[in-house]
Parts: sequence; C-alpha cells; structure tokens
Amino acid sequence: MKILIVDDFSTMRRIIKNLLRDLGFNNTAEADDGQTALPMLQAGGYDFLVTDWNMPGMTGIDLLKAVRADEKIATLPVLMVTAEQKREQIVEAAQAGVNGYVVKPFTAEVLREKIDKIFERVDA
Amino acid sequence: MDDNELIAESYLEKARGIITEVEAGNFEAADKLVEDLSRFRDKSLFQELGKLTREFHDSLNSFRLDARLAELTDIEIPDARERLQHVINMTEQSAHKTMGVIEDLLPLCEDLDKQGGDILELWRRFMKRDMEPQEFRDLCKEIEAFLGDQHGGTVKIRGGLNDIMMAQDFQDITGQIISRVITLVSDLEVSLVKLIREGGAIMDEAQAGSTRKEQDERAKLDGPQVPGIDSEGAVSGQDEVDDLLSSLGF
Repeated sequence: MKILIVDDFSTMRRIIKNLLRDLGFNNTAEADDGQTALPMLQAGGYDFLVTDWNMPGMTGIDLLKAVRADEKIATLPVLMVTAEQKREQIVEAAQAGVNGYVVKPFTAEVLREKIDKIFERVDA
Repeated sequence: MDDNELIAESYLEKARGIITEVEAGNFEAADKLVEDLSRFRDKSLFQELGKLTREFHDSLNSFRLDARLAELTDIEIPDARERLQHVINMTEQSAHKTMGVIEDLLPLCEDLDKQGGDILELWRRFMKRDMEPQEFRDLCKEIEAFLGDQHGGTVKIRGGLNDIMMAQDFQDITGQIISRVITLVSDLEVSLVKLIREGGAIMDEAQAGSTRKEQDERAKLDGPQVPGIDSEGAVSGQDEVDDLLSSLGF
C-alpha cells in the first residue's frame, strides 16, 4: 500500500507520515502542493491520497477534481485533511468525490477511523 | 455679508469720511481717519496671519499623521511580515525537533518492550519450575544484559523528553511577536480611521464589494477556526463534519 501525502507544511506531512506508520503504512511519499502531486499520481503506483485543501500552486480541491477527471486514477481513494471547516466547502469536496474529510487539528484516532472506513468501503 | 464685504464696507466708509473731512477743511479729523484706516489695515493683516498660522498648524498635524501612516506602511508592516514569517519558522523548527526526538526514541522503546516481554515469559517458566539449569544460567545473562540496556535506554528517553520540553520554548517568543503585530494592526486601524475622517473620504460600499471579488480563490478560504471568533457557516468540529457528510449519503 503506497500513500501520497500532500500538504504545503512539512511539519503536517511529517505528523501524517508518522501517524500512518503507526497504523502500519510504511510506504509513503510526500508532495507540497497539487501541482507536484498530480504528475506523481499519474505516474502510477499509489493506492491512497491524503491531501490538504489550502495550498499554493494547486489547491487540494483542484487536485481532487483533476484526479477524478483522469480515468487512469479516477478511482483512487482520497482523504482530505484540512483546517477548512465551512459547510459549503465540505459539501463541495463531497460533490467532487472525496472519500473522507478530517478537520485539523485532528487526533490519531480520528485519522485511523476515517482510513479504516475508506478501505472498508473500497474493499466492499 | 461675508468678511471681505465687511472689510470693503469699513474701508469705503472710512475713505468717504476722509474725503468729506478734507472737502470741509477739517484736516485734523481727516488725519485721525487716515490713522484709523491704517490701524484697521494692521488689524485685518494680523487676523489673516492668525488664520494662516492656524492652517499651517493643522497642516503640520495632518502631516504628522501621514508620517505615522508612512512609517507604518514603509517600516512596520514589512517588519511585521518578517516577524510573522519568523513565527512560522520557529514553530516549524520546534515541531521538527520534537518529532525528531520521538522518531529516535520510539524504536528504543519498542526494543526494550520486546526484551522485557521475552524475559518475562522465561521468568514465568522458571517460577513454574519448568526450566533446565543451563536455560536458567542463560536467562540470568539475558536479565543482566536487559537491565543494562534498560538503564541506558531510560537515560536516553529522559534526555529526549527534556529535549522535547525545551523545543516548546518558541511559545514565549512567538506569543510576544504576535502580540506586537496585534498592536501594530490596531495602530494602523486608528491611523486609517483618522485619515478617512480628516480627508472626509466616504467608503463606497460597491467599490469595497468589487475589491473583495478580486481576491484570489485561496484568500477566500477561511483557514483554521480561531476560538472566540465566529465564522459564518463553519462547522465546530469533526463530529459536525461527519454529520454533514452522512446527511449527504456518506
């Protein structure tokens, strides 16, 4: 299971990376915005995407839309981990096809729960 | 009747008086009127000078206000930007330092935990007298090695915990920096309000609206919710996010 973590703050990428490792996911890669992440995803080999929303270059929501629009990677499970808490934004992400939405600051438990849920649904 | 008309009227009255007195041959009275006239001219000159001085004083005051604004925009705002960047850098460093220590110590904890678990299992067998003498001798050596490892490990863990504690020292400094920036923003607000009042500028609502629209997509995002500041249309936490998503069929 290879996971791509996308966030413009290196500390947040590191926290997510450590939490994922704690959950048994050791194979992770990082990108600092959507523009860097998209070619990595298109090159293939990723099973899961964890992305922030508010980033320079390409935002997380645009990355999500680009992923869903590319038939090669359209079914990739995507978890949004963001400080954006507006209802309209959560609805927008849902409409764009997000698989899970975690608001910052979050706990390890919440992350574990959302990831478990996403894979239950993907496996079903 | 304004000031100028009043002055003109007084001049005319006095000038007519002088002509009348001169024609009548009353030179003394005419001289007195000339004197009055010149005194009157001095008086209005002083009044004008006074007015100019007041205007100059007001201009100086508003210039001082502009100078404060110039200082704010030229020096203090860029300075504040740097200070805030510094806050980002400091907090980033601290987070990395803390996580670095944790990443170093976690494998050590896992190792000690495993060694302890293995020895406990053997010890329980020994207590049940389910152990050969040679096995027991090996166990004793393992226990000795484990105690040594544990001692060294504990010293390392304690050092690491201290490092984590010390990595939190950014809070004091960043707190002070942010407080100063808050003060600066308040100063700027006061200066701008004064300037608007003095200039009599009226904020055009429509214009303000169009400027807002020009902001880029990223700036429209609300960012982290700050306690005590209500943000319209925002959820208050993960539970509400989950409720909203499940109402959308998630």
